[in-house]
Amino acid sequence: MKYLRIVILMVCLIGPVCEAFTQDQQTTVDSLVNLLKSAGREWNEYAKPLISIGEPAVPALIEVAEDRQLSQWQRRIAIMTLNDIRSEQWVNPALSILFDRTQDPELRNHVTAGLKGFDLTEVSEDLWQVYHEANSTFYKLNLAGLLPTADTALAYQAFKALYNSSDGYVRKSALLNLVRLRSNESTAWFLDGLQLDDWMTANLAMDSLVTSQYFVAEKLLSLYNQPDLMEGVRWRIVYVFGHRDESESIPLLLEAFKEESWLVHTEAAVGLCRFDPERVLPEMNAMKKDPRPYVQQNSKWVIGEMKSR
Amino acid sequence: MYIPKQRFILLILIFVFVLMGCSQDRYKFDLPKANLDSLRFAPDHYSNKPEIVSPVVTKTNRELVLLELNNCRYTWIDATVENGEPFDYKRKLYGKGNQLQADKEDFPGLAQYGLHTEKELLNTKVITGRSVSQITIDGRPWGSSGVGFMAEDETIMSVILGDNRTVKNMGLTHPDIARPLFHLWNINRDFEKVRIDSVTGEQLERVALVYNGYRILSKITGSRGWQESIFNDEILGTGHIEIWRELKPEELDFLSVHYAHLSKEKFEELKKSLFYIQTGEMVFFYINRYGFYEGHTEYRVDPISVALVFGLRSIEEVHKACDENLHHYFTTHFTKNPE
Repeated sequence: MKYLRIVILMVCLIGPVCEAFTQDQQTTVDSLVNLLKSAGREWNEYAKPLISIGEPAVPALIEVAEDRQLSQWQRRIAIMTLNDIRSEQWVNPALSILFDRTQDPELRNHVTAGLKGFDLTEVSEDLWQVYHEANSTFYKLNLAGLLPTADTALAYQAFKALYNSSDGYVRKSALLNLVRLRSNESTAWFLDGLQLDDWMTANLAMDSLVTSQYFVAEKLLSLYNQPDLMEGVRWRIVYVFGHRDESESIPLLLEAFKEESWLVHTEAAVGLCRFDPERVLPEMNAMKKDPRPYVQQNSKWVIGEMKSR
Repeated sequence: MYIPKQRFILLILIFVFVLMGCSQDRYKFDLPKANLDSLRFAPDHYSNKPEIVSPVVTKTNRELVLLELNNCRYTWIDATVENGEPFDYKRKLYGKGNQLQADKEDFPGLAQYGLHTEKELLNTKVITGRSVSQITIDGRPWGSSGVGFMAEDETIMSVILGDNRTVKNMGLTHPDIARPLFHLWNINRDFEKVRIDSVTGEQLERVALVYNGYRILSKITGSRGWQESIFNDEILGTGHIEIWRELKPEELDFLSVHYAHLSKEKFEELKKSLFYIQTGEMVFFYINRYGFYEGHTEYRVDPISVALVFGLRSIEEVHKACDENLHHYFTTHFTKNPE
């Protein structure tokens, strides 16, 4: 009986305690949102606790994000806070801002970060329309980032167009998304990326080929053997084989070892050191007699490196 | 464990010898040492220029540099080049960083003597775990930075080799070249903390460094974000640094005589190459750690310019170090690889 009374008392208390807690939390949210509305550079001081509170803070933040009477900055920091909460409640208001052509373009761009990963199949055509209307490549990239959860075929088209029309970070991101969407095409895409005169994208392609599970050595070799292939691309292929234990690796590295290009033969020498000395040392000993000074010198270096291990 | 007395003494001698070797062999340009008492350090100052050579090393091995302040006043500041607290823009840490660290794993010769041997460079295929060809690809223009760390026709090794020969020809070492640059960097870092006159509340303005008899002028500005290193190290850069000094009449006379064949435009270019340096702080660390001054890009620190601007070598000496053709030296890229 004694325990039953305690339990009844506790059940009776849970309701008021919860209500008090909710009221208290709502007061905190209101106070933080008010501070956020007038915040400057220190806005993160208010945004961080709101993000920790999560869902209960969303309605008040949406009010700020939608309020056209407020400045662009105030709405922007509310949008960025909402984006970080990752709430389902935010999806429809965010889409309304995104599809409203009268809204500030920067704010429309900002809401894209909060929509990533949510099911957007219902609005795929609208997203595609907005993607086409966009002028900035970074905005286009953000919009393309929403398409994989709306329509994968449209997403592929969007990233392909971005890959072909931009460079640097946008092109690199487009390549990454293309192979995520169609991993069976990854070797073809990475081979294409490898040949670009765009350091960032070519590096991503090269590093990805080093670790890719869909590696097709013959395709890379066929590219390497193309006449007049640029030195930088040859170097990248040698780098890839130097980091992969394929049956084709040592033969290709030995060929590259004798190439006149300093970039190529130096990378080949470094790459050969990663392989089994029993397979490499006999070849190096033979190359010590090569008439080309760099071949002689590099073969001595590889022997020295392997012996010092 | 018992160690016989003679062996113990021998061990001590070896230890002292190694210590001396490590600390002294890396510099060939000795800074004057002096017993200095009652110097005035910023914000305290002199109204007349003190008759003490600058830079100078105290008996406690602190490296002091004389600063010229606004209204013709002077003060001393401790600019010692040393390894300090971490220097990392990413973590907002603004210590001195590793100013004396040389990459002894890849360059034992540089670490011990302050200069590479040609054999060491011949056998360098990897630096900080990255192949020298990869560093070159990343370091060329439109690689990891727009302007690049070297020109399109240069490699990391051709640049290191070229500069190593130049520094050797001047009878100097890479730490000799890095030291005045670090002095300037450390002064810029520390002056802010000591510039307010505690008596009058006046903010002192730094006008110039007094360095080996010259007035060194400089301008250091920051930028947003940072540049990542091409090596696998902690070095980052964000500063834009300009350093220069006026020519002395005898220097102008020397150039006018020996470079009279140059057009007016080329002569002016040569003067600028000799007496003006534009760079970033990454290079200061690169010089000491790898003997790398950057190739022929906008941010190159030419060792000839540093030696001349900071008074480590005279105009006649740098002219000789460059096969008596400074114009050719400054307009030619380093394209020969060590092999």
